[in-house]
Parts: sequence; structure tokens; C-alpha cells
Amino acid sequence: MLAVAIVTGLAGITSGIKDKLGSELQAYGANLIVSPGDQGLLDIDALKIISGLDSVENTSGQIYGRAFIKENSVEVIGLEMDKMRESGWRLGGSWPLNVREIVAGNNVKEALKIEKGDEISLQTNDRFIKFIISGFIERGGPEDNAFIMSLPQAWELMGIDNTLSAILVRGKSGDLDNISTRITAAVTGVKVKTLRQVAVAEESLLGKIQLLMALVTVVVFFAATVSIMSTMGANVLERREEIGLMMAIGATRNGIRLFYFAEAVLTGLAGGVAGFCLGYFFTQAVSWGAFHALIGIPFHLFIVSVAAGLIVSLIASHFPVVNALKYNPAVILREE
Amino acid sequence: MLLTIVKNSFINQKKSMILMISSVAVGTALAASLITLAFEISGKVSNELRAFGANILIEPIVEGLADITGQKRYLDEEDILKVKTIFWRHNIIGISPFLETDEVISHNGNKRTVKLVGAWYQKELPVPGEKKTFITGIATVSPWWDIEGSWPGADHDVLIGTTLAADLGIEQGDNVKVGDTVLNVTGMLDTGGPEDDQLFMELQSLQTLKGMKGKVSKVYVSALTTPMDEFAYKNPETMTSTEYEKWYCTGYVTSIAKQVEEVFSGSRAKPIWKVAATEGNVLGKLEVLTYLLCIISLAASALGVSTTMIMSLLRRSEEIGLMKALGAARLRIVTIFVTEGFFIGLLGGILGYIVSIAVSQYIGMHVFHTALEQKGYLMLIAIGSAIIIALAGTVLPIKRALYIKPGIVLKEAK
Repeated sequence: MLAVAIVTGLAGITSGIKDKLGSELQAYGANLIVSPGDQGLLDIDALKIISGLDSVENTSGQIYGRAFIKENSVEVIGLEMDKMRESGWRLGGSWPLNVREIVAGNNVKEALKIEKGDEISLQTNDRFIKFIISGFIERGGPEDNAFIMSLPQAWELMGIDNTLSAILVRGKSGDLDNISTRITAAVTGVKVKTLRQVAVAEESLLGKIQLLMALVTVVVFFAATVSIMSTMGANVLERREEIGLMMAIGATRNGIRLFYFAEAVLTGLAGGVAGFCLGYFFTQAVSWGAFHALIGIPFHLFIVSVAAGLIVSLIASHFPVVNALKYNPAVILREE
Repeated sequence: MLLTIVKNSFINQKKSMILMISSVAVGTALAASLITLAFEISGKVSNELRAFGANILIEPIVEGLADITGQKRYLDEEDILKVKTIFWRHNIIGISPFLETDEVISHNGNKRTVKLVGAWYQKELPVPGEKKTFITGIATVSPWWDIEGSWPGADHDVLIGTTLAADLGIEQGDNVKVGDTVLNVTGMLDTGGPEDDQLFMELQSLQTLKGMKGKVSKVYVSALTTPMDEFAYKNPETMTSTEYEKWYCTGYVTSIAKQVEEVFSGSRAKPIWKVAATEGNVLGKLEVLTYLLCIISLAASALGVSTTMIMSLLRRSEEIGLMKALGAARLRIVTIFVTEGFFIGLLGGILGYIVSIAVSQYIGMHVFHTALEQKGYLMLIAIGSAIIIALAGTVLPIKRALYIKPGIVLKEAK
């Protein structure tokens, strides 16, 4: 039973780990990028359509532009601020709280010598808009050279409405080709590219970890089987005596076989079910400890674990019985 | 006398002894291989995570609006070698410099302003103070670059991003004009990122072409790091000197960046946070996962082994009864069983350790394609714990054995 529990637990973790680690890897960012086909802009509706597609875990609509500050041209990125808060950017200061506040990249801070709380004025064409800097972000990417604001702020600054330059899509690892086909089918006239940096590395890492867990499960299963067999084997002699007695008082060989078969089936079933329950708790405990999230255990695992319990218990009871049936009852009983 | 009894006990009960020893061996093998794995997993996965690319970016220090408004500043190429002299030099597994220039390229009358970038693909560098060389460049730092054709070898060779190539109708083997120079396209590059709109050359070729000898625009460094913990996120400027020393000598991505910055004149090095932060997270989670698995498997194998031992020993009450009837002292009986347990543990432990080496090496080779390091002290732990578990398995039977009334046991047996 214990063995079944452990094996169930491990198998559960193995099957669930890809999802869980996959979501940890989300912070690496998008693995697909959707851009407008012909220099134009995407409509905001495309974002809603793509977010609703299968296997799409996360989306982020962004708009890029440039604005002048004190006669210097600086990049401006508009994005969904609440999504940015979740993804691990390093922030000094605080996130924008009201419609006039924005954050700036760390390089901009050093270049323009601005401080938190400063008011700056950005200019595009003939529009001047004043913003207050609420904090600075560092990411080690092009964002460090830009002003970051929410989509509505960026639209107001650029004098456009409800359009996006690109949509970053976080799709389920391993299913990227299908997702990009679905996106091109759902939204007309867009280009979808796979960000190989994230996609390739992610797939190979997840594959390896899963292989690792599978190997560990096999090893543990093997070890558990051996340990159960040896426990059961220790009962061999006791069984012999019992069987000898049964034969002596007139039980047929088939009758004895049937009796022990039924017994093994019952212990196997009980052990399998109990083992599954215990294994379920193991899995959830481990997963909670490691990922702070529960793992969904597929139902077929229940059948597998009960079957494993049955097989182990049948094998373990088979040998002693066959062994004992070979002997003459008189010899067995006298030996004792 | 004691040894003779124990020896005969092993010889006369071969089957049951083999069962017990193999059970101990399997338990030890399982536990020892999982522990080996747990010790090593962090390092191995850390290596795998480097496939996500560089985690430190070195740029020229920002003064005024230089970087933002397009005015160019440069780093010295010769400083690159010094990266291999810092405290954490062995953790630096890749360095990849880039020199970026804006050029107008033309092909069949189409003109476009693009970035022409000089880089290393697989460059052999001497390691300062050592006889070895160190091969680095895009191939190690950015393994996801998919190049169709070949990396530019000769001075007038160039690699072109697929998007740019499609826009201008350029194919492999074509010639493109950059300024007044004619370059030969040797390959196409697909990354899915901004590189798809750029042209690439060997760093030295571009430096010669533009007369910018020894200059690079930025350098990416790929380093093995210790996962960031709470302490690592403290601001180094507000640390006490002991704290600073501890921070500086731990392989956090921030402290390695600091050390790299110190050897590059006029530079600013910063972690690429999306890579660095995720790395710490994933490593931390995996470590917890393996340790939990280890504990569960250890507990399970200990339980399994003790059950086997108890089962086997309980069947020997007859023997104990006989000993008692013949006048053996309690201490004597206990000594016999403890010695037996000790030998079972010792043999099982050694066997199990040998098996565990095979198992963990197989897993290591299969999953990570490198051997796992076998810690020598693990052998002592494995054998020691096997002995302890085996002895623990003898406690209950011995206790029972001591309450045995020889008369009853012997009579029952008949």
C-alpha cells in the first residue's frame, strides 16, 4: 500500500510538473509576438479575440511611439499597467496611481537627471502633456530607455485611439505552432512570430525535468516492488503450514488457489485504493510545498494505481501458494 | 563465540538473510541516489537555464542623453578578457560582445536603414593567467539563434535576419551593398526577436570596415548564479561592511554584475531581470521539490526495511526460546541480534551504495548528458543510515524476544 502511495504521488507530480513549472517560467515573458502585417496598427479587438483562444495563458497589448522631452526624442511604451505589476520588473518608487502618473526606465532617469515626483512634459507633434514620474523600472531590456505608461495615456499622447503596435502572447509551452495557426485564423492580416529565445529554451528545460521525474518514478517503483516482495516473501513459510493443513483436511488444490486468489484481490484492491488516497495527499503536500499550488491529478492515475496494487499483491501471493501446493501435506505439517 | 553464532546464522538462514540484505540495499540505493540528485540538481538545472540567454548586460555608462538619443558610446574590446579574472570567473560560461552601427543597405534598388551588428559566433579567447582557452560567442550565449547557411567567415560576408531578407527579397548567396561596400550573404537568421531585422558580421570584420578597432557597443555575459534570496535584494549601498563582503562573495547575479562592471572601464553592468529573477524562482522550487521527494522516499524505504526485518526476526522466537532454555543471558541474546543487524546493515548499505552510483549516473547521463558528482561522504552517510535502519528494525523483535517464556515457545513449536 505504501508503495502504491509513493508511486501514485510521484506519477502525479510527474504529470503535473510541466504545467506548474511552465507557469513559473511565465516570467520569462511572451513566447509569441503578434504584429500588424503591413506597417499599420492592430485594433484593440484583436487583443480580446486572442486572449480568448485555447492554450493562450496571457496576453499583453503594447503600443510604441516616440515623444520629445526638452528637444530629445525618447521612446514611449504604452501597456496594460495592471499586468506589468505582476511580471517581475524591478521597481524603484511606486506604480502610477492616477491618470497623470507614469514610470520611467532607469537609463532615462540617469540621462535626464529626473527624480521621483518630478513633473515632466512630453511632446508629440503639437501636443504637450504633463506627467508626474511615480517610479523607475529596471529590466535589462529596451524598456530601460523608455517612458512606460498605460494604454489610454499613450493613446492620448500620440493622438490615436484603441490601437496597438504589438500583442505579446504567452502560449502554453509545446503548443506554440497550433496557437499561431489559430491566431492567424482568428485575426486577419497579422503576422505571428515565435520568440525562439523563450520558446526553445523552455521546451527543452521542461522536457528534461519531466524526464528526470519519470526516471525517478521508475526507480522508486522498482525499489518499492522489491521491498514489498521481500515482506511478502517473509510470509512464505507460514503460508506453507496453513496450506498443508487445508490440504490435509481435504481441500482441493483449485479450491485453495481460488481462496488465496480472492484474498490477494481483496488486499490488492484495498491497498491500491488506500495507496491512491495517501499518494494523493503526498502529491498535494509536495506540490504545495514547492509551488504553493495544487496539482490536478488525472483520473486514469486512480485506475493505474489500483491496478498496480492488485498486480503486486497477486504476484506476491502466487509464489508461496504454488510452492506449497507442490509438497505433500504430511511432509509440510511434520516439519513444523 | 559471538561471531561464530552470527556467522552460522547467516549461513543457515540464507534465504531470509538475502531477503533482509536486499531490502536494506534497495532502500539505501533509493535514498542515496535521490540525495545525490538533490545535491546536484541545482547546478545542473542552472546550467540548463543558461539556454534562456545572458543574464548580465554591460553597457557604456550613461552620460547625458547618449544612449537614448542615438549618440553612440563604446566599450573597449580588450576589457572582455578581464571578465575571466574576477572572483567568480569560473561561473562565467559565456561572453558575447556586440558592435552596433546604423547603415543604409541597398539591394536591387531597394534602400533601407538597418542595424549592422558585429558579433562573435565561436571565438577562442586565451584565459588570463592560465594555459587554457575559452570558446565563447553567440553559439554559447544565445543557443536559440537559428542560422540557415553559415556564420560570416570572411571579411565581406554578412548574415541577414529573415524578416529583413523577405522585405528586400534577398536570398542566400546574393550581394547587398552597405554604403559603398559589397557584401556577400552567407546565411539567414531566425530568432523571432529584433535580430530578424538586422544584419550581422564577424566583430573584427565590422571593426575594420568602419575603422572602429577595439570598440564594442555592449557585452552580454552568461553566468551561473546563486538564486536571489531576500538578503540579495538588499541595497548594497546601505549594507554594513560584513554584509557587503558576504554579498560580494556570494554568486548572486547582482554581485557578479558588480564585479564585471569593475573590470570594464566606463561601463554599467546590470542584470537582465526577466532571466535572472525567473532563474532564481525555478531553481528554488526545484530544490524544494527534490528535497521533499527525498524525505518521502527515505521515510518509505526506512519503513519498508524495518517491516522486512521485523517479519524475519519474529519467526525466530523458537530459536530465542531455545537459547533462553539453555541459559543464555539477556544481554547475550541482544548482542547476537544487534551484531546480526549491524552486518545486515553494513552489507546492504555497501551493496545499495554501489547500485545508487549506477542509478544516479544513469539518470545524470540520460537527463543532463553529464555525470553527476559523487560526493565521497555520501558513502559514509548511506552505509551509516543503512546500519541505523537495520538496527532500528531489530528493536521491536528483540523487545518481544526478551519477554518470551522459553517453555511456552518451545512447546508451541512442537
